[in-house]
Amino acid sequence: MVGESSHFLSTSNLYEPDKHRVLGYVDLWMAKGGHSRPGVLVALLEQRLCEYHHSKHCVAFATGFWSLVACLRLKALSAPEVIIPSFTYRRLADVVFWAGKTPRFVDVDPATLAISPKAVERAISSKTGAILAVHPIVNCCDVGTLQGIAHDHRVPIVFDAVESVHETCEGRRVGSLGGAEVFSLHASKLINGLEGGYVCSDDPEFVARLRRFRTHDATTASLLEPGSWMPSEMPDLHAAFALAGLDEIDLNVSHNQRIYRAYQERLKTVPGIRLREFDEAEQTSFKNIVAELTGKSLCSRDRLVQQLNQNGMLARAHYSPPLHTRSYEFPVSCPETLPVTDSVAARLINLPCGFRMREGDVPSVVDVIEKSLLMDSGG
Amino acid sequence: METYDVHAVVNEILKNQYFTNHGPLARALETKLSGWFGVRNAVLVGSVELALLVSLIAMRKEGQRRLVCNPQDYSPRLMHMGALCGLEVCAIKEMEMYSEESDVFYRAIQSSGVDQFRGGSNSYTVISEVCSSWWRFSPFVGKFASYPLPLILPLPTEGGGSVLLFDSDEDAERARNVRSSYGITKPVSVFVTCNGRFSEAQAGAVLNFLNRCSSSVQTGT
Repeated sequence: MVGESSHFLSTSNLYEPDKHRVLGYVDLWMAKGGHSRPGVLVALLEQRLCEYHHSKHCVAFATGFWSLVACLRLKALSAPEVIIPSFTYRRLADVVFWAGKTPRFVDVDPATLAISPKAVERAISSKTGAILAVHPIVNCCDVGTLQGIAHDHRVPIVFDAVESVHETCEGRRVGSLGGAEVFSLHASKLINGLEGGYVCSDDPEFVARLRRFRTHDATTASLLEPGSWMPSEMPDLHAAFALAGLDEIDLNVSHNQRIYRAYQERLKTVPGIRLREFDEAEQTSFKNIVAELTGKSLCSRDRLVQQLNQNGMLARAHYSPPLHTRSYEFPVSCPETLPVTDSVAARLINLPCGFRMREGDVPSVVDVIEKSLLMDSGG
Repeated sequence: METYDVHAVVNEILKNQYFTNHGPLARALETKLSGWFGVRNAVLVGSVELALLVSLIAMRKEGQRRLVCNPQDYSPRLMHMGALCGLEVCAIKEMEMYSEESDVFYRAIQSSGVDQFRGGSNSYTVISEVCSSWWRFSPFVGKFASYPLPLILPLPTEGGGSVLLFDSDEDAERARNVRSSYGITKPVSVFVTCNGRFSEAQAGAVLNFLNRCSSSVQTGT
């Protein structure tokens, strides 16, 4: 495993909040009862996240993974399948397994690389229990169209927004859509809560069920639904880090924006590679740097990843391999071919980014990219 | 509630500059616990419930459909964890007489009953769980390794999580791979993965608590 040395360039955000701010929240917790009153900082974090996302309710969990499982367990119909994109987070099919459902893989939209509304509509059938719509790591999915499809077919929809904390869709803050939107507080994400997740929703009944799902006390109500309870409360110390990170989110985003601008400037003259650009008509975190190899280079994406890694720069193959090409021991479904996913899967790369990256590091990364692409093109 | 020095833990995390999972604090805690209990592998997991899920998946056999326990060990908690893994949970008084080869057994160990514990026969998978605050009964600590492994132990402090003890390197590696890609020694194929990760804050809290307990014993306070 690659370590987290502060000099190692990584694809994770790894934001470091101000120590005194974290300790200030710890002191607040201690003043309100400390160890004998767990949950004080978690409740404060939930309140702050509601304000930040313009959401009526927020429920914090120990992890984003189990937040997703909880939403699917509690939202999905009894039908067996959950529609998910294949070109996404590598454990998303496993999330669906833990929700007691079968993942049904669909294609992405070629322009946005987000779950394709047309593919979702084609995949909906009497077997569909829910749609798990994932925002890609650059920009958002087509929220309005997907919500329309879900509404028309009376199928619940859950949004996986773990990479979209700071984003807006058509001017509306992600997290304020009202249904079920899931975020992560893992250290690699925009808000560093060390580990954690949360769900935003405006539905009080759903929120009450989410709270029962995560509590350490199994309620009698949960006995009617085996699997509808999994203790997953966030520790207060994680909440202290997340609260400090939330307070400093503008600093974090400004830093990411500078890194993104540096990549934009440097990569525009490099043949064979194209930066996936953020939609700046919307609010965005500028957190992830994703580039696409174009047909002009003979260098493969995997070779480029290897070259960067050999130079101490952690780059990753973006969402590779796609989920429908992996083997599983539990049932999955993919009756259609996924031509867009198959076509883009070998071309996209996650470049170093995040809080430990300095603007001055970008030229060295781009130099390695340029040399690798030239070398393999016979230049 | 077991307390720890929260300021010290925050300082340690920030000093280490390691924010994701299975960093220096988690590694130090695994080393401490495996040495303490005299087993080859200690695998930290986010909670005792996650430890149960991780062990059920790591020890899974083809055709397994039942999680069998003694009637006194049956609980809503066990029912939910079984359901999440697709297992029916059955309470059977004469477990060994009425069980099937494919069953997996769950045995709870209460601190008062550790000496009376009997493990299953070799052909069965037995997952045992210590259901007590073992750190308050230090004379028993050394005995846990003599029970069938994997063994689930809770860890002290709020959100302290759990540790899974294994002697088999192969079983432990499967458990690490089910838990997450963080902290694995090598990738191995498992039925399904989950997020059972253990954070540096959890590790720091448990280490801080255990170290303070040790120094209290040494100084007689």
